[in-house]
Amino acid sequence: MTEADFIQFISTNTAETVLQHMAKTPKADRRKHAKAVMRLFKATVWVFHKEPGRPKVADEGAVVIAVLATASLSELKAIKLWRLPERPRIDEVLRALQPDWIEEWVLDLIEDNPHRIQRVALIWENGLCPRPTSDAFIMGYYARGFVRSNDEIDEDVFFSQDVWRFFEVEGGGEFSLAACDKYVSPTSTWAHRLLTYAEAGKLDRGRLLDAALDALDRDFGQFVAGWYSRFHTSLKPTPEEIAVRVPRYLRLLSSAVPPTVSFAIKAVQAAEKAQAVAPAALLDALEPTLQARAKGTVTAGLRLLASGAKRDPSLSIRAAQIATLALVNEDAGLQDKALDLIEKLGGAEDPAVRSAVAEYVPLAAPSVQARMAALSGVQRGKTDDVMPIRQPAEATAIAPVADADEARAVFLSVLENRRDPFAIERAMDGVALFGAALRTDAKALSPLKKRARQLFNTPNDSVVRLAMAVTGCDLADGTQQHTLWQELDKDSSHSMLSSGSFGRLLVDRNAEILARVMDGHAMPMLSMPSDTSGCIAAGDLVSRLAVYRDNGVAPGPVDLQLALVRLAHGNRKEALANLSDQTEAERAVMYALGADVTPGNDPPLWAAAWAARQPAEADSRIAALFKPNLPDCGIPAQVSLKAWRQDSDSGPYYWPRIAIPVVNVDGADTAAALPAIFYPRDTNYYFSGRHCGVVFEDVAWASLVRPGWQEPFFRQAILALETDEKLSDHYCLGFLEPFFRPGITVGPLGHATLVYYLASLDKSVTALTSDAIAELALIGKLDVGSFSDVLKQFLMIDALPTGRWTKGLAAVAQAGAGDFSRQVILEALGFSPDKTPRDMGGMLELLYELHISSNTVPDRPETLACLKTMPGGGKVAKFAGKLIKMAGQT
Amino acid sequence: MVAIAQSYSYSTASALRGTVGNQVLALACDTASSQDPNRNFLTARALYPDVTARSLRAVSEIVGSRFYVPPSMLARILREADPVATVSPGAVRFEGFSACCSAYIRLDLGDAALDVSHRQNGTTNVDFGAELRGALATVAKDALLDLGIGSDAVAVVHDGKAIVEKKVPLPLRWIKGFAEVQIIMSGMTPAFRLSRVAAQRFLRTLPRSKDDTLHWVSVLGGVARLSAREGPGAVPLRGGHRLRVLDTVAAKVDGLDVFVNADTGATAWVMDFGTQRLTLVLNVDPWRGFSGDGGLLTQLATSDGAATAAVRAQLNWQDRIDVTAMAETTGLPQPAVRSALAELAAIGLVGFDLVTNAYFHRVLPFDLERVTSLNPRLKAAEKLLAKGAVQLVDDVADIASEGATHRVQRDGDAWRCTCPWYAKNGQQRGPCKHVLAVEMFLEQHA
Repeated sequence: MTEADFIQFISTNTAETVLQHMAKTPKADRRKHAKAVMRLFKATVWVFHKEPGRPKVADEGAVVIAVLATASLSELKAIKLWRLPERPRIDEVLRALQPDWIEEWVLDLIEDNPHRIQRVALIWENGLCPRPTSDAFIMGYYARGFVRSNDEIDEDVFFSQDVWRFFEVEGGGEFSLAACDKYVSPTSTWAHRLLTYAEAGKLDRGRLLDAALDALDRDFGQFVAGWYSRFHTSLKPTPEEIAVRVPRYLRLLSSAVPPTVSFAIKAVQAAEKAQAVAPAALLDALEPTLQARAKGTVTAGLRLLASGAKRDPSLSIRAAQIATLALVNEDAGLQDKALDLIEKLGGAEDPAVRSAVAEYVPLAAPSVQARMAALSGVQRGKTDDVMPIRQPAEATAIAPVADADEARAVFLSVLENRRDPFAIERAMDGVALFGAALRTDAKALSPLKKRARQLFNTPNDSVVRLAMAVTGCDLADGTQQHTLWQELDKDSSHSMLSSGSFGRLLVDRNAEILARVMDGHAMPMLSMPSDTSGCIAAGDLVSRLAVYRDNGVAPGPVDLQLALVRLAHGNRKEALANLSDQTEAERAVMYALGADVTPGNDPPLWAAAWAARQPAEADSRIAALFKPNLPDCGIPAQVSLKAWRQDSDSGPYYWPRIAIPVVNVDGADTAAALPAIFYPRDTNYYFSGRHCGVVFEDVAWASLVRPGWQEPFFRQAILALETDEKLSDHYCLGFLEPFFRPGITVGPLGHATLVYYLASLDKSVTALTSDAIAELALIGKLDVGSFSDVLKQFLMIDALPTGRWTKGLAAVAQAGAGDFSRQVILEALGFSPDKTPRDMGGMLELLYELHISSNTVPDRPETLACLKTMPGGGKVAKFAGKLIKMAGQT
Repeated sequence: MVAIAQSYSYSTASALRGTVGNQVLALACDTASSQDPNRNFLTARALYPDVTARSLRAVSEIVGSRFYVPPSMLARILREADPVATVSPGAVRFEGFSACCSAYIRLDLGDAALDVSHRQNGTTNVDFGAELRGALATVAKDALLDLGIGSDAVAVVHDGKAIVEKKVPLPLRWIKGFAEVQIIMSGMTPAFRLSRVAAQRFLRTLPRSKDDTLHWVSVLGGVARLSAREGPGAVPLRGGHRLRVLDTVAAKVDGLDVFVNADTGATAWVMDFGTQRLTLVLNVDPWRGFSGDGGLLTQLATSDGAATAAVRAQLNWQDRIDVTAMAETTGLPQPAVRSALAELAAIGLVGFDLVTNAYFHRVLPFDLERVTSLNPRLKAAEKLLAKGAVQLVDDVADIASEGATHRVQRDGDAWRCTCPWYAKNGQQRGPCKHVLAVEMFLEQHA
């Protein structure tokens, strides 16, 4: 039979006919057609999405049988044959074909997917290969509950062999006992089945108890190990059963899996209660528990230590020595408990114990430090170290690009990394200055051309990336931007470049620069920041404008508007003296610098000029240019922060809601003028708070739009953050950029941003926020009152756990700004609470520790009144009482 | 993924046997990579058994870890490799690499950590199963722990089990990283040291779950703290969960020394137990293997084979290779010796010890000479050169490559290029293929 005939035969006949033919054909002859059969198989059976025009076959089962008849073992392994013949059955097929690879193939099939076990079982049930014993076979049990084709278990083999392998095979992913039992009803779990078998006497109870402990010895992952400890517990071992297994429980106290340690310590507690543990062995085994992260484990460890020493007083000093290990715990309460035990055991009189305690003094909680120092006989270790201030006091000048080579290098660099908005602006300034020169050397520009096009063809969420790619294409090969945008318009995902967005602002500004470059001009970009504050020195703007005037070139409108809103506050009078009033642009700059100039007829230009004026006072002439009025366009926008708790209609769920409406101006046309760009109309869409972008680089660039007055930007910052959202590179980090720039003025919304961001669940956001707060507090740029007012507002709505702010303020204190944290909490506690916010006890504990650390007492009457009336027991009552006592108002 | 199938063959599984207070840790050697399957490398008693056992467990845990799984890759298809043990006159070392290639770990057991009754210099893979790993966690400090590597040890515990054979596809980047990390360590400088308690506290602050946030670790008043921004003296730490493995041994440590490679951002965390050291080296990003750092590419591209051969001839299981003495012996200038040692590190013949700030001799049981020649950037550079793509005029080279002409120019002591690789990485991860091509061109025309 030729290959074509062979394929034709398979394609047109039934599985039974093909099998009969293959069984009669010698193996070597069948093998000759392996490649052709595999091609047919891949085109017909293997494809998930069967396309029109694919070869048609009468019976796909016939093709599968042909593959089994012709392929080698390695070829079968490569295709992971997921579809097995059903009529005739797989065992009948293999019996007819008699391949020599059945055993290995079966193992591979189960290894690839243990779910197949039921269908493959026919093969060994009919004596075609030995019954497997591999780990994957056991994982098949976990997933399917049986390993026979008739949905049953082989009882003899199961009870004598297979079930004990359950305690040796960890499995993985969905194939573990823990995973399989998680998603079935309680009576269908493997744990329930095994308990039932044990109760029926089919499984030996003692052996099950031991096997579970064996499994816990085996370094299984935490999730999987949990099944075995729970199973052991569900067997409810008797005191006698526990007593004989004490050495095993003690050994498990060293486990690397915390829940296993918790499990073991409970068993050891039971054994100790029955005095079934030798005190010396107990003490030796307890070391790891005292250094556990779980407070409950440490507390239990300390209790057992005390019990062991009580039973054998000769071990007291040894126990005291071991108890010192618990001092590594961060919790002041646990440190206190450990010291209590050390003193009780006489450790205070033992030099070795005192020496061991001394090691912990520098890191002790402030409330425990004095006691610890006294016990150990060392000086109380107080450090005045604070985090070095990384924010430069003065802005440093940004060096302009020196030549065409550097301009190209800087542009290529920002094509790859756009996280630094200053680098983007410097790259564009380089294009403005040397773009015309660069365009004369096509070879030198070829890498830029190629890379820009690559990035343009593969857009992602970053608008800045796309904008710079478009600029690069335009610069390198003169592609008109509108042509490129037409290409993109086909893709609606680029709506972030819509009119009135920050992306569009960047794109339009860049287009203006390129238009000049195409005309052969080499002039500076007006909106290039002068220094690392992001602002443009007034003198710089005036001298740049002079270059334009001298060349007879009109400034780009967007470039000029952006330059105006970036205008620095200082040296305006001197700059004004050097400026003429020949053009409307120059008159607008004069107005921005403080001159009394009558506004012209270019609303966006005059709005930008108004936004640059200091102080910001309403000017009805500018406001009148816009119908309706726009925020920050002649009228300073007034905003108010509103936070409330939103409760779910469908359960006990709630979350914070925030609105910051502009209360004095109605209009919200972000495209009408640059200062209004920060005030998009509240559409109530889910993403309405993401106006500045959804990736870091976009937000960071937006942070540089109005560097001298960031309150509108911080308004967006607050609206953008979802406090429960955790991201691998959180775009909201971009909103914190301005806090690390020199010259930042933190207004009410700046304070609100810092308070709100401290409550984020994303650790990168909270870490950066606490750094920003510490640095700004240390250089006196934060106002305690403003900060605590917002904090109080959030605490009162009780929509987020107080513990998030407690952790954040503790981090601020650790960085050296403990006084700020203390004062903030003190002032935030100025309310008459009907109900104590959640986790308030932790915050009170932090306040208590900060007072001790700074050797101060709470003396603010409002705070003390609040503490006295604060409802709640437990930690709240404990630390409210301590603080009141500290203030001498018991 | 380019991979080399590494076949391990052990006469039996390694095991920890004996009673609780009197145990034998018998480590089976890989007979597939050993010329003498009956070789006995080490018989010794651990003098600090709990520390040694837990440190070995840490080595094994790192080798069995994957801190980053590429989205397209199924974790279940990845098998773990085995640690490598080296016995030399003054030390016994166990080293391993995480499956994701971003973390390297090594346990250096000095003479004061072991009471050695038999030793034979050599390097071998050792079997390390999950069961053994679990058992090692339970070794007490007053236990007797005998440590054996090789046939004698296996004979002690052999219980008639079948030969253990594992076939593990080792990605090229895994093997290359093993060598590259030594070069990166040689460029590290000390950052700070933490006391035992401070080290424990610091490790406790690290997240237990995956955390890819970039932190900076700095020390204030002897206490390490994490910060979100770089500060003076701070070292970068992304993927801090990789340090969790040190948690279990922190209580026993004298101090934690931290080193940083300022060029690449890689850090080394050295747990100093006095008589033994556990070193964990982390690449700056958990998703970045050491293999791509290319610290040695220039040397490989312009290699002085004679100098390397001369230094190689002097290797004799030294625990500390003295560059001055080596220079005197070989008649080579010291920079040439250092350069040759770096090349030897790339082919797995020497490792680097941060504390002694010196290389030591060992022979990795992989065919690294072949691997090195497969370096993609080197191959690409050779291809450019062969095509005559390099046009050099007065220290400025134009390289025609895939539709663009890249310009390579001198920038101080180094080169800069106009390709995306350079724009993205600068000089942090070794030279790009265009710079390599220019360097090869200059070498050819010297």
